[in-house]
Amino acid sequence: MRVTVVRSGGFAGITRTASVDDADLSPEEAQKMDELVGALRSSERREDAGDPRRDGFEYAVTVETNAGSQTIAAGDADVPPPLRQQIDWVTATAGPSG
Amino acid sequence: MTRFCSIVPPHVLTQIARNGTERQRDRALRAISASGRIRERRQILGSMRFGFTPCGGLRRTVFDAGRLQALPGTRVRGEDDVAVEDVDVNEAYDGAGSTYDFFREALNRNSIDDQGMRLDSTVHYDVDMNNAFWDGTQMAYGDGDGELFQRFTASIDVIGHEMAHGVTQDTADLEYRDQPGALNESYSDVFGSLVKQWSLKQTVDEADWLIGQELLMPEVSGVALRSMKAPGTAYDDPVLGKDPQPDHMTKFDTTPLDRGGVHINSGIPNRAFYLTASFIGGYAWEAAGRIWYAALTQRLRRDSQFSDAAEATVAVARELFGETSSEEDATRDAWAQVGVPVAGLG
Repeated sequence: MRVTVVRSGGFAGITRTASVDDADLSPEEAQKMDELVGALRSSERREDAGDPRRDGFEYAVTVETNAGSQTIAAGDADVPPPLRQQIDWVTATAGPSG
Repeated sequence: MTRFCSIVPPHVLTQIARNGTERQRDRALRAISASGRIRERRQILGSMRFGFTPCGGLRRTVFDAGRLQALPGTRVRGEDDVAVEDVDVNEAYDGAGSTYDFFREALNRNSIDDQGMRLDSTVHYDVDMNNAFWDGTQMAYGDGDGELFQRFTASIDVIGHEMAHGVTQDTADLEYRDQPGALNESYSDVFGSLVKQWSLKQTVDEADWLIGQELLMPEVSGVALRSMKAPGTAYDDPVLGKDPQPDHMTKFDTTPLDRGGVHINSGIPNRAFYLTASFIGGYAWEAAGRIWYAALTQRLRRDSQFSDAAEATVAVARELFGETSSEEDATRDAWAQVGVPVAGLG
């Protein structure tokens, strides 16, 4: 399983990508990733978020498994907590070079 | 940690916003806005305007988020308060003042809503955030990571850019995606740069036409985040990559990222503005600025495309300066040079 976070937008409009594959992780880290993905999948879909924050970051989180891939996108001001946790974890785990 | 969470349902907030005290109303509007319901806020404010007298002059408040993701944070400086030790606070305060003065004196607009709206700014938002934003009611600035970017209050054009998002929201309300979004972004760069030029009393030729020049740390290979004069040339850095802005319609970026490249394709109308100002000469805010502003406030709509902006600015130039005036020619030629020709009278 691979989780990829793409952050675009922001004042600078610079796109950053961070990706983590559980094949590269310790068993503990892989389990953490499983938990975060599970929380993300069981979280409710957000209703239409309305007008976006100007110059906010835009996030697209893609979860790839053997069964296929799924992408969840959200603007800065409308990131639900499970998605925020996933973004923060992938970004930190992938490292700054991402 | 709660961010933008409100346990009060929107319809209740709406009631408070309509019927509450000024303080309650402010809080309710902020909560509505924080949940992304800018349109709802506009509707409420619109219906309230008949009942309230605008408060007139410049009213700035600066808040400190203490590196949390929460708005507005702790109030640290209000209008007429003396400067504090925190440079971010003073820059946000002074930059809001310069932007207010620019809109008032150069464009005869009284604050964001032309009704003397309070100017709220929050500094130290989030941890080392490489960003600044307009959330629908206020400005917010990150500290920067100290490696690529320093504090986002350091550039006056960034402050002008954020406040201009409020002006656009209150007028044409250009949708924040694809071409309308790139126009929205471009208008913020135009006014941001004009605030800097107006503050420094620079002519078209003296101005740097850069956005975010002061933000870049010395290690970064580049001069700014964007160049209105030469889009695509602001930086070329191993970590940041290369400035992706196009300077012509043939290079329009169809990316789905960044809400359809709103910070990318803004290079095209940015250069159209620079060229217009350059052809006319003198102070950019006097003719080109007035043309762009009149188009935004009187002609453009939520779904306006680049071609609509080109037509609107040429039409406004003709109205303001006369048919076959050099200003009209300048505007027409500028758009043609970026690949957005205006048909008809020429």
